[in-house]
Amino acid sequence: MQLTDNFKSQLTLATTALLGAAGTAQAAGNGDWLVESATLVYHEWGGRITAVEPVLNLSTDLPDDSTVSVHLVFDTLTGSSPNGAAIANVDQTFTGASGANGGERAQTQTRASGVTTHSDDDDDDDDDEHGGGPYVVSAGDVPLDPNFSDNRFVASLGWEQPFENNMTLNTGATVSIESDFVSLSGNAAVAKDIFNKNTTLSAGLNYEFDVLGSEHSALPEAFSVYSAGNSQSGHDIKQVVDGILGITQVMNRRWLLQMNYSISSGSGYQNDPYKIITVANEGNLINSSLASGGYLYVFEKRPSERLKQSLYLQSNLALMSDDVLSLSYRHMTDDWGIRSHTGDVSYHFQPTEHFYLQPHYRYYHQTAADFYQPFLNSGDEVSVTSNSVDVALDYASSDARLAAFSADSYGITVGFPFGKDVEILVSAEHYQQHDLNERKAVADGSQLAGMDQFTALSASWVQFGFSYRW
Amino acid sequence: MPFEFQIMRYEDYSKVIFNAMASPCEVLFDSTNMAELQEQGRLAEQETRRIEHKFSRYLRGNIIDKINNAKGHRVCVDDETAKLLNFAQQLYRISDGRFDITSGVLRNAWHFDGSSRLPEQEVIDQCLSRVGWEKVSWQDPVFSLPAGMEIDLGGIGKEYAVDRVYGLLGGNYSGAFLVNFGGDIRAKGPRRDGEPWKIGIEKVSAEQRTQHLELFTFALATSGDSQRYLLKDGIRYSHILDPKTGWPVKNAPRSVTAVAPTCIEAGIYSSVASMHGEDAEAFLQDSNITYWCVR
Repeated sequence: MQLTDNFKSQLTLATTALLGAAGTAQAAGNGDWLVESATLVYHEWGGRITAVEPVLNLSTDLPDDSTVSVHLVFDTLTGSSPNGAAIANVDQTFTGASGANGGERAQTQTRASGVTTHSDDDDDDDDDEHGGGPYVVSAGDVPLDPNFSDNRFVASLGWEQPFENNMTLNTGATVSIESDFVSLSGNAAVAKDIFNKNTTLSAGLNYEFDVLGSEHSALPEAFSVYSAGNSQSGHDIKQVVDGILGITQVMNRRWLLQMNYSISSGSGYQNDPYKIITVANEGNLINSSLASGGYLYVFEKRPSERLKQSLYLQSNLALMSDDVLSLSYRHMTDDWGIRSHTGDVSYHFQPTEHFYLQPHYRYYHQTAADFYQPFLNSGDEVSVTSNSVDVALDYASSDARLAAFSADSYGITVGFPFGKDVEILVSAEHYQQHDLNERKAVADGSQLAGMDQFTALSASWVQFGFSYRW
Repeated sequence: MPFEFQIMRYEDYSKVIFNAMASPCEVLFDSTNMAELQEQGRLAEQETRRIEHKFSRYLRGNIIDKINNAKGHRVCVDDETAKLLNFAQQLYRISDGRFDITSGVLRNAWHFDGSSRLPEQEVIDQCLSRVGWEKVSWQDPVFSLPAGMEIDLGGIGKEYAVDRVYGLLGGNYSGAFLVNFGGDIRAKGPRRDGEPWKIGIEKVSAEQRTQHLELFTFALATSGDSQRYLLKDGIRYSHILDPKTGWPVKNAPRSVTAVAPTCIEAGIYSSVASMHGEDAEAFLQDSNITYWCVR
């Protein structure tokens, strides 16, 4: 009988929750829309990119138990992006090759959706857009292309349908459009609950088809000389197929473990059309008539195939009444020589129903791609004559995202849920890279001597979010 | 001849009567304004029928039917159903498993017809394997029930309807009124003349006196039914089954009437008290509520 006091107060609470706003005529039922909107403000320190990204997510349950969701993003990116050339102790003038007006964006939102995947690798291609126009980079500065500006529109549609035998089918399609890049993708995933729903097995496939380049901005030929009049190769395509297998295990009422294996095969145009590589002679920049009188740079070249595999482990542990400790680890390897490790820890601290704090830390470490080169040397690597420039390597890229580095991210999210239907949240995160590359030898007293060969990226972002049900 | 909807006018009050949820449903209004009664009465009737259609386990195609016939598949439920399932879940927990909306399956084993036929333990065990809220999966808004199991909101449906109608009328009608669905009552008082509502509690045996209550704003519900029992070897088996054993609760009162702020709470007190068997009165006393037990 000692429980009856508790019984009485619990019954009163349960009744209040049930009858709530008595007198309202009718509960809404199916067809409520959950609307989530957020605006992300992203800033890279050191005069680099600023992005403003409003996001809108809509989802609703249909009468047949399926769920339909719509995801819309509109990006505006402005600022400067490293062009790949090495830092030197002389001013460098970049003519702005006429072919290179556009960019490539790897889809980070749509991979094998329907099955939970996590943090893409830091080496994944990001936003590179470029408008023309010559620019000068002062001695000792990181060569940044200041003409970085583009808009991006992403729309995706998802459909989730629960089926017989504890099966759930997820399908979706995404389109992403920029001035010089169009990406289409489709995905399907199935999940099945077994062992009294304590275990969920899932498998998914995602196919992505990208068209790079446009009427106005064709793609530069790999390893061609960067100049105002370099040759162009028009459009190109890239295709990526992703597969994912996952298992989620409920260990007990408060502990959930998840493991995913994923494989991704990309083929086609993998180059970044805006990344160039400095060609140096004994550490000095080369004046070449082929480069319209400027220094000699060549466009990068990457393999046309890339196979990635990754293993992901996650543990979610509920603590206290509403707190959650999440730990995850991801290991990724690819056939370009990149091997990465990501560790992530976050703690969801919810002292009251209407307030939570979620501090977050992430560590990332990756080895460099086999063909990563901060610059190329004339001679063994590039044969330079007065009327020809031939790169002797199979592939080369100076893209910092293919270099060896580690990165720390610290962040915090503060959320204010108001009842079941409204939530406001603010999150802030800071990202800092650290150089792990071995220095490529440079002749003493030359123009590249003593210069950084890798510029660690530092970025911060703030996100404001709002969600409600109507 | 059954009637659909009827208004009866008395000297200083009126009564709207309709049949729903297998019970006579009455709403008493402290008024004789027929136009107003027509409107409020229809509102009460519509809400009651809406709840019956949506949650009756006897009707095909509603959410309960969908859940019970999903054969283990997941069913997405609407807000109102979610609230009822949340309530049922809470009640299961705080009543230590005594209140369980999956226990209806036990009816397949027991037939309370006044006879001496007890079911075989084997049959009870077979039913018990399909009973138990802990076997369901409920993550608002997705509910799923293992194949063979059933949920039945009959234990709270009528009381819920009384509270819903009370809330609906309370928001529309300023006078005193009383909602009475087959003995589950919620009333708003005082009446225009300052008097309380007067309620008579049915006697369950000849030697018992009829109880008269005078209440202003209250809710009341009764659990127990003197007509439904089995009698074998001098033991009277009440129709109140313990979802944990599958057997009738021993020494349950023949009827428990409880008074509480809402009808659903009154219903819960009376039914959970019955399940405490010989401790029913002690449970009600500890809960510090007004009650009548008949043994």
